[in-house]
Amino acid sequence: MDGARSRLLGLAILALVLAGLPLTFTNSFWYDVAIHSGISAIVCVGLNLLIGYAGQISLGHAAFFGIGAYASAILTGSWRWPAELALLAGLALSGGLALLVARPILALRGHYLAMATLGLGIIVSILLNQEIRLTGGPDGMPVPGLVLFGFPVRGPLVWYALVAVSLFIVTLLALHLVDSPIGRALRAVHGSELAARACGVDSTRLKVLVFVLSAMIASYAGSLFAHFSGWLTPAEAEFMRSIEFVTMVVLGGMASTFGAIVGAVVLTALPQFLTVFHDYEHVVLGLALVLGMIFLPRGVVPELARRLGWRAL
Amino acid sequence: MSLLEVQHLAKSFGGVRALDGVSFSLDAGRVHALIGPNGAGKTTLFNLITGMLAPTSGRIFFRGQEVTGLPPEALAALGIARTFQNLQVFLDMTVRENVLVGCHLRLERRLHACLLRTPSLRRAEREARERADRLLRELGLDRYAEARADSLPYGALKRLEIARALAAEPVLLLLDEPAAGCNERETAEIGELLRSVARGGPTVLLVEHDMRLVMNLAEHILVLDHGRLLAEGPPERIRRDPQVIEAYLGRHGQVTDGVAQG
Repeated sequence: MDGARSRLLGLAILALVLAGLPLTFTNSFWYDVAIHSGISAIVCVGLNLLIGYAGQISLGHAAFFGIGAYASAILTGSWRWPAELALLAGLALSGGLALLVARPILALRGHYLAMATLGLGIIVSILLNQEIRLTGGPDGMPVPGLVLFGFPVRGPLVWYALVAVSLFIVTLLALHLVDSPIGRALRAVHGSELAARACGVDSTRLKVLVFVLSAMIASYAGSLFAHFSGWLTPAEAEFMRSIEFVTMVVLGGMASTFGAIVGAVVLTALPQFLTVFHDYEHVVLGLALVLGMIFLPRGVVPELARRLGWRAL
Repeated sequence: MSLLEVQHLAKSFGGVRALDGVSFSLDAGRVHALIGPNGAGKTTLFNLITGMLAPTSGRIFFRGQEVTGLPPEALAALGIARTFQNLQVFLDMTVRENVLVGCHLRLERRLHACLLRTPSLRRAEREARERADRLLRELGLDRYAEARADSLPYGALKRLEIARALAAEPVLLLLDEPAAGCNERETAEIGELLRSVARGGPTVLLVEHDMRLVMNLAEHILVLDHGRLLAEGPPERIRRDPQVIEAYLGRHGQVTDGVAQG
């Protein structure tokens, strides 16, 4: 099966699942879990482009999520901006910051981006905790409801639809990118950086591009999250959240867009249903990663696809 | 005007002078060969011309423009393509995708076009695919088009490297031992292939140990020894040059059509 056909099939299945899922929901708790899973999945689809294709790890994606969330919260709440404009401002801020960090870092070989994003994540987290007048500090701040183009997004079903459509579009864009000259060039860099550069592939530029893109996707998800929750605390931008995102991508399967979605859904939904484990959430997370690495080293989706003889997307 | 001009090029690794003040120029439209014993500095010279290494001193001009110290991707954009002595194929990609990466600079690769799969991108992709398939046919690789590169036999991988380099439609094509490790039949095939490649387009600079291949193909030969240019000229003259004979074979011998006959 060639790239275009397996992409269409994958997207069709995703659309069916997203559309059919609410039929199985018996109360608003399910919607809540699904919306949170979807928001994490959006972040992970973007992050997977960076980890799975550009071969770089970000340990600070929660910071971009937080920037988007707080940009929406502060600009719509305190400054009375329209939500669309606040969301765009978050995207610009996250993208600009990502560009600023990545340009000098990605010109170097090795995993310096992981260290740089670790530092960035901690700085953002500290700022959000300390700038009490702006963010409310550790106690958090309220976020106005979302009004998109004059239409108030209210109620679980409407929120679910918005997140589902967002996830679908982000997935579509990611699949397009992977199967484009940029995606091919990134895979080539992974295979032989020297040969790729000899073919004219500017590997540094492509890595920067993907990092900025993934940061903006995280920021978008953060904006959705802020409006959906109605109350925002700096915990959402903490280091552990960044680690959770990376864990989701790795568990689901690096270099697999649908794997990123599966990883995000499993690791967001699991703790909700295993409330007994609430105090041990991070232990369960760590355990899932360790077991995953032992039994499904390529991640859930690529491993299943391989066993079924399918092409993993 | 010469296509490539190299002036007093030198490269040291620590205390070792791999290349020691080499100057030459290559005329456009011809097949040039670079020969010399192992360790003479041939691959180092290739790596300097393609920007994989920066020279310790000296300058490089391509089409009259100084290109010393430019990164590989910039030189590729100017029209220099190469193959590698130790294969550098993208093993986990398909054979067609390998060739498509070779077309990279000619493809639509703006971010928005890639994300949205715009009509201009689809058109460019379709054309690139046709060009890639045509190249694969010419190099006898068409039956492998959908196969992952790591499933190919060695000789086919060598040809795949050439196909990928040709996909860029280069002005200057550098081939680093295209026949290394190939048996006699495969070497003959590669010779045929290179002859048709050279007829069609790019200026070729070839590094090769197989003297029969070199003498048959090259119109101009550069001989490198211990990082210095020992001799250059047409094959007939190189074949009889006493210095070349000595460097290759000791005092008693002649560079014949065979690989090494002492």
